[in-house]
Amino acid sequence: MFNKIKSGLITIEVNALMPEKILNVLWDNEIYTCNIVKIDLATLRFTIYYKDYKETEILIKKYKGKVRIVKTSGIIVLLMKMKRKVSLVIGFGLFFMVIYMLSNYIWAIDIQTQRNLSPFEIRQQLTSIGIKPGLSKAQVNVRDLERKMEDINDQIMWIRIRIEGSTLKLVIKEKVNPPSKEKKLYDQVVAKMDGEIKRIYTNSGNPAVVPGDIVKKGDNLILTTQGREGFEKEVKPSGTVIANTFYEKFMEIQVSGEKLERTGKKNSSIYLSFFGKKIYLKKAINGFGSYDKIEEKSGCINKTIYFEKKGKTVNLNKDNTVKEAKEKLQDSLKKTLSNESKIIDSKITVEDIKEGKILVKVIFTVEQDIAQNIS
Amino acid sequence: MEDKFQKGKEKILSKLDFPRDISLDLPKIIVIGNREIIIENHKGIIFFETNMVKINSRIGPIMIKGEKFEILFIAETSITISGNFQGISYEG
Repeated sequence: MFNKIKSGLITIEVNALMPEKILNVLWDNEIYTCNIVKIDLATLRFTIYYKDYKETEILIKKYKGKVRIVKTSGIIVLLMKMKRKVSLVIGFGLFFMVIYMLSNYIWAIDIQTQRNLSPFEIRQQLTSIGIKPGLSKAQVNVRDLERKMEDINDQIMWIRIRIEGSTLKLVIKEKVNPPSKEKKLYDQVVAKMDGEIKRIYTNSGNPAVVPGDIVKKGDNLILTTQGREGFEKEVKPSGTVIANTFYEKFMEIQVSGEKLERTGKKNSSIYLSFFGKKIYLKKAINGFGSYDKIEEKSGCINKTIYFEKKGKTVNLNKDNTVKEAKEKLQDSLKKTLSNESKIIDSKITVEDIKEGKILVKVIFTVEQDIAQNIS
Repeated sequence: MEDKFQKGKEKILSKLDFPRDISLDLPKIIVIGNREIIIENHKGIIFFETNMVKINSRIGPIMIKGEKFEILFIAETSITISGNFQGISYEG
C-alpha cells in the first residue's frame, strides 16, 4: 500500500474525454493509482506516487488529457519543493545554526544579593576569576564556581550559581561578619612630657625606666624587646607609664590701693567715613575724666563709644585672696587635664610687685600617664 | 479452437483440484457489506461514474450499481471500490 512517509504522494485532477481509458492506460503501465473519484463527466481525481508523476504526465498528454496538481504530501515532495527555494532553506538553516551557536555562550550575569553585598563587587570578583559575559557555557563549571566564590568572598554564606538560558544566575545569601578589631600597634613608646616616673605597667616590651627616674619629653619608656636577658624577642611595645608631672600657673591680683572700674555711664558718636574723611552724624561731648574708648566699624557708618571709669579703693585680705587665686588656678588647670590625671600636690609662692599688686605662683604636681605611642 | 483448448484446460485443472479463480483467470469478487468490493483478476475499467462502475473481466463486464463510488486502489490484479452498492450484475 502507499506509504506516506517513505515516499511522496500527489493528488492530480485529469481532464480527458474518456477518463476510464486513462485509468486503464495507467494500470497497463503499472502505475498504481488510488482514491479515484469522478468529479464530472470528463474529470477524475486520483492519487499517485510522486515517482510516477513524470510518466503519468507523459501518458496523459499522449491521450490528450490535462493534468492539474491538487495536493502534494510526503517528505520527498517537500524536499523537491525545497530544492527550488534553496537559498531560503539555507537561510533558515543558518539562522537556526547561529541561534544555536549563540545560545552556547553566556551573555548576561544576573546577581541577586541581599543587603550588604553589592552586585558590582561580586561582578568584579567574577571577572577576577575569569567569568564574564561572552564566555562559552562549556567553560563554566557552576559547582566549582560556587566553591571559588565562597573562598573569595567571606561575606557569602550560601551561593547558588546556575546557567539559565544564556544568563548566569547568582543567588547569594549573606552573612554578617563581626567588625574586625584591628589593634594598631606602634613601634615606640616615648614620654609625652617631662616627669618623674612613679609606676610602669607594660602589656608588651620590657620597661626602659624605673620608678624614680626623671624623664624628659621624647625619652624612650618601653623597650621593643621582651623577656629575660638572652631570651629576648622583638615585640611592639605598649603599656602605661604613670609619672609625676609639674605645671606652673600664676595670677596677678591687686590687694590694696585704687582700681579703675567702669561706672556704667557712656556716650557715643556716630559718623560716616569716606576715604579717611569723617562726617559726623552725632558727635559726643566727652566729659569723662578717665574712660575706655571703643570703636565699632561696620561699612560706612561707624560708631565710637566712651565708657566712663572711676577709681575705687581696694583693700583685701592677702591670705584669703591667695587661697581663692589658687582655687581658680587649679580649676583652670583641671580643665586642661585628662580624667585619669590626679592633682596630688601644689606649692604656692607669693610676690609683691608694686602699687599693692601681688603675683601668686602655684606649682601643681599631677600624676598622669605620660606614655605616648608613636610609629 | 481456443474454446476447446480452454475447456480442456479447465477439465484438467479441476481434476487436479486447483483453485479456480487463479487457474482459470476468472474474476473473484469479495463484497464487504454494501461498502466495499474487491475484484481480483479484472481486465480494466470500462466505465466509471459515481453511480455506476463497469469493470472488464474474462467472462465479460461486471456492472456495479450504487452511489458515491470511489476506486480506492488499482493494483496489477485487483481493484478496490468503495461506495454504497445496490447490485452487482454480469453482462455476458
